[in-house]
Order: sequence, then structure tokens, then C-alpha cells
Amino acid sequence: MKKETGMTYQAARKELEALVEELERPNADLGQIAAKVKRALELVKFCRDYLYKVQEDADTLLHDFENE
Amino acid sequence: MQKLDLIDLQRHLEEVISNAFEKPCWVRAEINHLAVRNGHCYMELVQKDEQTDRLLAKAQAVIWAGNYALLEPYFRTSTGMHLAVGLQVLLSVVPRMHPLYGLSLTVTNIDPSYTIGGVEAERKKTMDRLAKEGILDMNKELPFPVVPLQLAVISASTAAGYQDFKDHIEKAGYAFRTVLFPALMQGSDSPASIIEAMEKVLAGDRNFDLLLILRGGGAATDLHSYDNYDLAAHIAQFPIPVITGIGHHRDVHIADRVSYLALKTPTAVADFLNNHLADEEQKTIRVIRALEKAVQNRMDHEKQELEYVLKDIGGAVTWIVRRHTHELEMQEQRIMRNNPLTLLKKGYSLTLAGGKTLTDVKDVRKGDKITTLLYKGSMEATIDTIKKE
Repeated sequence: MKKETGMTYQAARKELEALVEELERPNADLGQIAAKVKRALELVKFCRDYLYKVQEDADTLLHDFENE
Repeated sequence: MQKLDLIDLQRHLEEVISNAFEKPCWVRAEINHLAVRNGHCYMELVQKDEQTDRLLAKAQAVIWAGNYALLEPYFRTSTGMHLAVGLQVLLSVVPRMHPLYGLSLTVTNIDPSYTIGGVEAERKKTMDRLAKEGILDMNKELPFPVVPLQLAVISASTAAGYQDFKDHIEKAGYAFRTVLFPALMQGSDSPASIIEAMEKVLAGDRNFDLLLILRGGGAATDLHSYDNYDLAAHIAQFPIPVITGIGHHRDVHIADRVSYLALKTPTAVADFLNNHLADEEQKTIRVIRALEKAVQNRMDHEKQELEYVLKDIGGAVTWIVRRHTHELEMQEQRIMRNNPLTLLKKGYSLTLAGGKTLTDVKDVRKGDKITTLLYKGSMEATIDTIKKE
């Protein structure tokens, strides 16, 4: 799957939510399950990276500010 | 008619007067003129009408050299003044008639206490006048400058007192600027001379903080000028504070009484100014220190507050990130739970009939076509046998 640029965290979370709900439906289309799981895990990684970056940026900003 | 030669008449008068005044008598008079020649002191004594100042009586008087050498120092040490024109004196005199020089009073003694009393009375009169005119305390009521650096000085330029003042004022190292206005500081002409100098102080472009009237060096005599009404009135009404350092210890003159501050000597004036500036300097330093401390305290407080705020920001970010991370974990678990591929990989398989997941044999009949999905690949089959259990 291609790497999407400009996707927001919010959009990613929304898509992920929808995917999880689809996967949990009893008569999910099995033909697409593999693709959907893959996409969902990609979104999880994207969100995790995003959160890691937020924490890192905040730490850097606060640290730089205190040492000014 | 008997005719006399002038010399006979004069000799007769000499005899009559001599007989009439065998003993000396005490006489009150004002010295109108005074000259010392060959050690003898020749004076003109007068009496004036107290109201009109008109001359009522006038006489010549002399203190012979031998007596003058004793009486003058006695008078000076008792009164603090030279025997001089304008003084009221009480003299013990013997009237003598000389055929050639006429009538003259020979002074045998002098009572300084009378003069002191007269000066005191005169002083009181002047004080009463200044008080009545409402100017007695005018100079004292002026605000004293916080940092008096521009100093106008009235003094005799060559006097030791002025030099003492300059030496002392420069010692402490403050940035005083002194401008000298020379004047006669002693003698009957000095009030007019000092007043003229005061007018020059005001006439210039410079704005002075204080006027200092300094007199020092020499004997503390002939300070009669400093009881002069005109001088006192000028000092009292001077627009900036006047400090006097007239250099005497005996008594307080009216010039001292009307000035903002009277000090004993020019040196004392210099010390006062240096101390005043040192006090102001200390006060200023204390204020600056207090200000610095207040600013530091405030800064410390603000820094502390800011640190708390920064910690709060950090805490908030961490909390939000953690919450989102937790949500993601939950979703990941849900994904993994519902991932049929995980089960297929373990050897389970999925059977579909008509595209739908098959969970119950009721949904199929013998001969139906079914599809079975494995982890890898799928296979088609036809139902042969159905078992209910």
C-alpha cells in the first residue's frame, strides 16, 4: 500500500475505527479481510509514530525553552 | 567796658571748667567719627534724637595713647567689637578746655557692658521689625535641595576661611561646583558689599542650589555688620537657602538667625554639605538595593510559576499521548482478535456456502457445493454426508 502524505492523525483514527468495526461484523467479506487487516495495522503504526513524534516534539520544545 | 584778650577769656573758661569738673563723669554717647593718630584716639561724640535722628549734641573727645592701649583691648575682648563708628558707648570723661584747641572730653574709662546692652537692644529691635514684616523665617521655610551641588559663595577671596572651605569641600570628592562672589566681609561697608554680591548671584544665568556666606580667619571682631537690618532682610528673603559660616563663637547674629542654617565656621559648612551628600548617597543606595531585591524576588517567583506551567504542559502532552496510545492498543487487539488469517495459519479452516460463512449444517443439503478456505489456497467440494451432531 502506498504511503499517504498529508494524512491527518484524526483522519487516520477515523479510518481505523471504521475498519475495526467492519472486521468485527459477522458476515464480513472474507475476500478483503487480509487487505483490511493490513491497512488497519498500517494505520496503527502511522498513529503510533505520530504520537511518538508529538511527545518528542513537546519534550524538545520544553527542554529548549527551559535552557534558554 | 573791660576788654579781654582772647587768651584771657580762654584761660578763664579753662579754669571754670576745670573747677566745675574735678572728678570724671559718665556720659552716654554715640561715636560719630573716630581716628587714631600717634596712638591717640580722637573721636567725635554725638547724641541724636531717637525719633528723628536729628543731632542734638556734639563734642570732641580723646583717649590718650597710654590709656587707649589699655582701653581698646579691654573693650574688644569684652564686646567682640572694635571701638568704632556707630557704637553707643558709656564713657567716663573729664571735660577740659584748652585755650588753643577748645573744649574736649578726656576719656578715662569705658563701660563695655553698656555697649553690649545697646547692641542687644538694637538687635532685638531689628528682630522685632523682621518678625513684624513677616520675613524672619522666610529663608528657613524654603525646601532644602536634595542634592545641593551648585554653590554660590560670598566671601573675601583672600580669606583663610574661604580656602579652608575649598580644601574641605574637595576632600570628600563630590561634584560640587562653587562660584565665588567676592565681598567685604568686615567693617561698616560690608553689609552693602554683601548685598551687592547677593544681587550678582541672582543676576547670573546659573541656577544655584545654595548660597553660602563665609567669613573666616582673623579675630572674631567687628561683626556688627551681621546685625544689620538690610543684610538680614536680604538674607531672609533670598530665594534659595542661605547657610552662614561667619566664624564666631560668642553670640548669634541676626544674619545667622534669618539664614536657613547657621554654622560656626566655613569648615563646618563644608563638612555639613559633605555629610548631607553622603546621607543622600546612602539613602539612594538603600532604595536601589530594596528595588533590586524586589525585582529579584518577583523574577524568582515568575520563574517558579513558569516552571510549574512548563511541567503542566509536559504533563498534559504526556497524558494525551498516553490516552491515545492506549486507545490504539485496544484497537490493535480488536484487529488481531478478528483476523481470521491467524486462525487459518494454525490449521483451522473456514467453509463458505453461497459466499457466506458456514456455521451450522442446517444451512446446507447433500449435494450442495461448498468452498473451504485454508491458510494458503482454497478448495471446492460437494457435500456427501451431513451429521447433525
